[in-house]
Amino acid sequence: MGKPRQYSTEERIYLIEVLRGLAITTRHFWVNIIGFIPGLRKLGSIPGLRKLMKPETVTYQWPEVERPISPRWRGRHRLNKREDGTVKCVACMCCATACPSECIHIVARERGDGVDEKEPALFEIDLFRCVYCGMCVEACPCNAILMDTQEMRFCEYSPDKFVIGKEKLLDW
Amino acid sequence: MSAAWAVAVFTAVVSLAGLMTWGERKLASMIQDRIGPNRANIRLTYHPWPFGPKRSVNLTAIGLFHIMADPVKLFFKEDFIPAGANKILHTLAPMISLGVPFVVFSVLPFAGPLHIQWRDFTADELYLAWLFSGQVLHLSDYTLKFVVADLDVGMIFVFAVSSLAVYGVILSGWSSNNKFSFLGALRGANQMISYEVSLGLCAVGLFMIYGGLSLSSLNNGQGELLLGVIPKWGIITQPLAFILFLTCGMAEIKRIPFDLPEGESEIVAGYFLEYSSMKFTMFMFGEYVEMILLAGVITTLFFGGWQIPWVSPEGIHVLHWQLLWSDTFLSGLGATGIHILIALLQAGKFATCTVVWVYLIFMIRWTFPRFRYDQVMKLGWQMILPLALINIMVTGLILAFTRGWLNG
Repeated sequence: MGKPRQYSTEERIYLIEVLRGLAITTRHFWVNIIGFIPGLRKLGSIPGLRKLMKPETVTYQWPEVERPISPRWRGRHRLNKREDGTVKCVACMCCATACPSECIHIVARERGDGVDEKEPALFEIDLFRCVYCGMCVEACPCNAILMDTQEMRFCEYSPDKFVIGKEKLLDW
Repeated sequence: MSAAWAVAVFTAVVSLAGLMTWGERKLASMIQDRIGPNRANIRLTYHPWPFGPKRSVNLTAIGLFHIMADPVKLFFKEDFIPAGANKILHTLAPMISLGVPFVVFSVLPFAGPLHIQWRDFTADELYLAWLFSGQVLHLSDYTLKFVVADLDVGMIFVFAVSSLAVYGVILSGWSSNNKFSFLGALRGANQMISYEVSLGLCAVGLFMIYGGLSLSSLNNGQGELLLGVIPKWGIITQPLAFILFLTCGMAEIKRIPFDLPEGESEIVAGYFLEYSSMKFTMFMFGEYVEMILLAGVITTLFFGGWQIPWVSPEGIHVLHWQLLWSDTFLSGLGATGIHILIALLQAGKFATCTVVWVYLIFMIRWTFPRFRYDQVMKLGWQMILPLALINIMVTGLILAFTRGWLNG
């Protein structure tokens, strides 16, 4: 650690710095107060007053007001379907191998209809273990697992409901 | 002696302190670009028609219901006393912390003396003299004083009683059997006793100028005009003492930047760490009452108390120009009516000034970081104490050479 900074005389008197600090907080306080009064908010359409009347708060009144989510935002997983409606996954285990938190559990079986060789008999994701890193989506060779449901609220009464299976993953 | 004023002042202070619990959090959120408490609500469900669906409306009242929600929550929490604690002192400490500041309000005059010439009072009606403080000059003359107890040693009483608050701090910290609490109590005792000295010395200049210790005489003195225009308020005559007094006052009520006894980041919550439920509430509430007290004392000493500059019960006087109330449309009220109106205005001025100072104390609390312990001691003993002494000497010299001129 270096030597502490030497304060200038102006700073050592302290009272000037006190007033400067108070000016900043007072400005924030009154700008936000004025911006929250509905009648005064209309004054914000006057160009000169726009900056003064605009509250600087960035709070979203969640859950009444939803925060806009980017399309790339990683939410709950889903499994992609083919055009005929069957599951696109070929149970290659790439996602389960890539997963750093080992939350994907796949049991493969032979696919009888000749569209492809394999399909998952069991495809389970433990949402408690998942860290939402998106590695599984990166690893998937056939674009079968996706995280674009934009779903962030999943509440259940029992912890075992958070291990979601194929039905839930295909239901989107 | 004046039970009615005691009830009135107590009610006003408690209401304001209750509002402040909400006001401080809302103000802090506004400063920090947040929205603040707005979730506590009352949901009213009603049937708009005898048939058809129910409707409900959610009243949040910009978070004002938090004032009700917080005490209810705290009231139903467990009242916890640690194993090694001294039960009697542990229970006594919050009572001292909350009770002491209330006592000081009894000497703060909140409006000017009201001279009533009404009619002959019968002997039965003289209970008024017991209900409201004042004195009966004649059975038809009654001077009503807007103060619970007009003590001749008013300011000494303020210092004496407010210094008892240190017992609340040290007893709570010591009796809790917790090292963090004890550290907080030691810091609190040290800081409060150190600043007590300077606090008293800052006010000495005012006693010299206005010639009295009683708060009524201080207020009467501040009603005069310097050079016929400038109100002779404490802040005009004693600007340095005002800054020092404000600093010492902030240290006395343990507010940021002098909140070492609490110091959340260092010693958890300091002296009231081991308190929960309503005892914790009493400490917090006592802190808010102390804040109102400091605002009230600053108003009384440095901002003229109830004195509205240039306005008196007779009229408005500026230099040689004057406007008498009896010449205006107010004359219909009669002399006593005008006097009551002015007394109301004066009470309003005192209340407004107090609330403004409470706001400024809030602003200071949410602007500054905490002082270090050595900085607090250095500021108190090496800066404020010498400056207060110099202030007394300079005031004395000026008074000695300009008596007659400054005192009119």
